[in-house]
Amino acid sequence: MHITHELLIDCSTMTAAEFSDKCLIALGHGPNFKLKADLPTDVVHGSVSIVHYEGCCEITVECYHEHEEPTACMSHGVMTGRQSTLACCENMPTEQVIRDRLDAMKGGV
Amino acid sequence: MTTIIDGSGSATFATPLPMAQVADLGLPAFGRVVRTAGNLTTTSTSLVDVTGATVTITTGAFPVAYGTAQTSFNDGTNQNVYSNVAIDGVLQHGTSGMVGNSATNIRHNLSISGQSAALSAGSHTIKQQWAVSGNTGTINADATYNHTFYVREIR
Repeated sequence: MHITHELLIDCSTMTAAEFSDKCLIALGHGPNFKLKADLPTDVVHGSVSIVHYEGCCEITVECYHEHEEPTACMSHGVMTGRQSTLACCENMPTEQVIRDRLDAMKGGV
Repeated sequence: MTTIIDGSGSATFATPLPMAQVADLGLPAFGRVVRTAGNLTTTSTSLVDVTGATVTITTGAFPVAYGTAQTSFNDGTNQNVYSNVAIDGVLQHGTSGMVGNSATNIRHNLSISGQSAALSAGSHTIKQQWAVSGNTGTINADATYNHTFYVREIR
């Protein structure tokens, strides 16, 4: 599932990465719906990509439908490839729920 | 602005030609995207498109050279930002790509460049993609730190 959502929101008081974290919280990011890896070897259910315009953000939420094992391997003593596991969320929010959660941020970030 | 040098060696400065005309004249096709506003962030550990960094050009049976000039960083400790280029969906720099790693929130140069093998004659879509190993990655795109992606046919 690939959802792109535009929000008019004042995020001038924070860095782009801080605003991204606010979006993650609003979306319900947690162990059961993980949208950001804390460690390279984490299991993640999707991701959030944002274009940070002045006063407006274009947010894309990607949710994985299929399980994908890591692609990482050791080559000459160096780890290459992706170490994270891409997993389908057992209780995937619907597209409308995700849009509603993002819209709820308009009240204040 | 494009510089065209004719057979006598004199140069003409012209605005970019329409791609169809470029192909008719046998000139190398090219495309460029410059981003001066709208920083990009991602939490994706698998490669996703860099917003706006897509060039579609019609080439002959020749290779293309491509590159990106960009500044990026990650807000996590010892986390990577990867950058790659996909030509018609085929990654050019391995499954991850070129990697940048610096101290937390410290901008660094993650510019990359490369050259493809000879492509088939026809239309090709060339995209920059990126990912992180963890946390949140940023590509700067503002008046101070532009982001540029370009492709040029080699003939």
